[in-house]
Amino acid sequence: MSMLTQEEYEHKHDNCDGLCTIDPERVDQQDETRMPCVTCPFCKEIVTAELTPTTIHCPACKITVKR
Amino acid sequence: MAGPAETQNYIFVDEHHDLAHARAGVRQEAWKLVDTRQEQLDRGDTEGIPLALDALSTAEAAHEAAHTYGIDSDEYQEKHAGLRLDMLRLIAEWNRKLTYEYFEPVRHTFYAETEDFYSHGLSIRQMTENALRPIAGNPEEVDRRVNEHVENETPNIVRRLGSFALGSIGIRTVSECTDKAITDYAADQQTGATHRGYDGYVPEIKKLMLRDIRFDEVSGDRLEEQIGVSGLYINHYVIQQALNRRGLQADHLDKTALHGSQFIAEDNLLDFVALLDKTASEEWCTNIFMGEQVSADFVKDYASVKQEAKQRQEKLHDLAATAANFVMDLSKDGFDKRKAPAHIEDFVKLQLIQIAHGNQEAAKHIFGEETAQGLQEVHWNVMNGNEEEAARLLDEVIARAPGGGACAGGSCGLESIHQFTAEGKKLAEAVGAKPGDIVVKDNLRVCECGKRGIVYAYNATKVNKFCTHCKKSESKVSIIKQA
Repeated sequence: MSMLTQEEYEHKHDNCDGLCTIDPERVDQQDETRMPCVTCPFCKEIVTAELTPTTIHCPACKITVKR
Repeated sequence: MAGPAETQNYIFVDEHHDLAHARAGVRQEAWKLVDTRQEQLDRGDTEGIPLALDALSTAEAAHEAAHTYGIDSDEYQEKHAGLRLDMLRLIAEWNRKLTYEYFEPVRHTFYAETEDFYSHGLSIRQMTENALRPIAGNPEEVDRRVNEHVENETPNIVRRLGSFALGSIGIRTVSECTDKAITDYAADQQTGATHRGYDGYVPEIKKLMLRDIRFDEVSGDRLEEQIGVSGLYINHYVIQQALNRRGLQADHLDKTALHGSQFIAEDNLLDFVALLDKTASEEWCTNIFMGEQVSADFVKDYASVKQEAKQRQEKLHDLAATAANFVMDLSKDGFDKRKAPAHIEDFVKLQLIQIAHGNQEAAKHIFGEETAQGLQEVHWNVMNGNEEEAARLLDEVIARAPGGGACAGGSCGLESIHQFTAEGKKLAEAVGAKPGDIVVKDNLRVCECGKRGIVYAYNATKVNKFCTHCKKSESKVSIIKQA
């Protein structure tokens, strides 16, 4: 899943139900680009989410949304 | 002295043409479902995709039974017993994560109308179907889940086609650690990265799980028995050699293909482990018992393995009841199901940290050498009155301690309250904790006052709550009939 339209992108973020919100306490203390134990709101798989300063990414379904 | 069953040849289920055909059909349907879910994801239509793991479903069923029939009803007690069994299994597996363990047969009830097996009211077919989905970058895991769906349907197919005398056979599965889990773990070890959970596999010892499904011919139910052993000596080559000795040509099968190739066996699961140990001992020129190296004069007492496991697991019943109480409480609070697996695992981790804290040997089996050493250092600091340093160290140890599967290292929203510190004692007192209770601060659940930071004290029969902000406290008793 890569090229989303702006509308699709925002729709996905709305569908996160808060799961795309980053809780600093849950970010890997050793590697701030990883947040373990997250159920992806889209593919519903338990993953270690990949973080950038502006996005959160699911490695299982490849969906990326804004933080 | 080996009995006749212990020297009988094994037979791959797929050697029987009709069985192979029926199983191929199930496999094809499973792959269709994976493809359908890929299409759903591509379309952004993700509503219909179920959770891969629904950790609150049994608790929900128990609440529903309590609401409909009352907490004294058999319906409620059965569902709650199921939840306690689930928790016992989770804790018992984790308690022996880095060594071998035996798990006695668990009954799966057969319903003729749906031709499906149920565990405490939940369809096992549904569970294996829910896990089917595409996982980018991990095709091995998708293959394994498809295999597990086929494995679940195999007993039904065998029964329907009437190919074997059901009373005397076991349908056996060998589930080895995935290559991806082993590679990821090795890479993390090199870089010093935190433990990632590795999809529930145990790459530290390349753990393999051996399963037998046997039929109860009277009720039509099936019984699933399991043993977990280290795969360091009993590696894939050793397994292939052992299977050759029982007439199975498995040289062409990789780990995932073998996982998907159930075979019929008349011996019991411990006989199979003995065969694997014997083969590994010869291949490695050392003495192996239950997958582990032992001294040359070690007496291999397979007969006592079940009894010892039973005794170990009996000691975990209280912990399992406490964890079940925690899960019931989460479900009652309407806790987000998507966050539940990690949250439950976090709770069990804190329970096991308590066990490991006072027991160096247990700490090694549960969490490994690093955590065991860390806990010893914490203990040393507590004994010397350095409580603040002990608390700091303990937080560090907990954060780095590996999880049990769904969750990796780190915290998923639960914080341990260290009762050896002054602040911990104060909080434990405020929440009305008694000796032996597990006291945690939950940073995910929100109090009625709108703030997070409720402190909970759990044991097998009660839940106490105390909000650190509005100071509201509450105590609930969970009434469970003792079996």
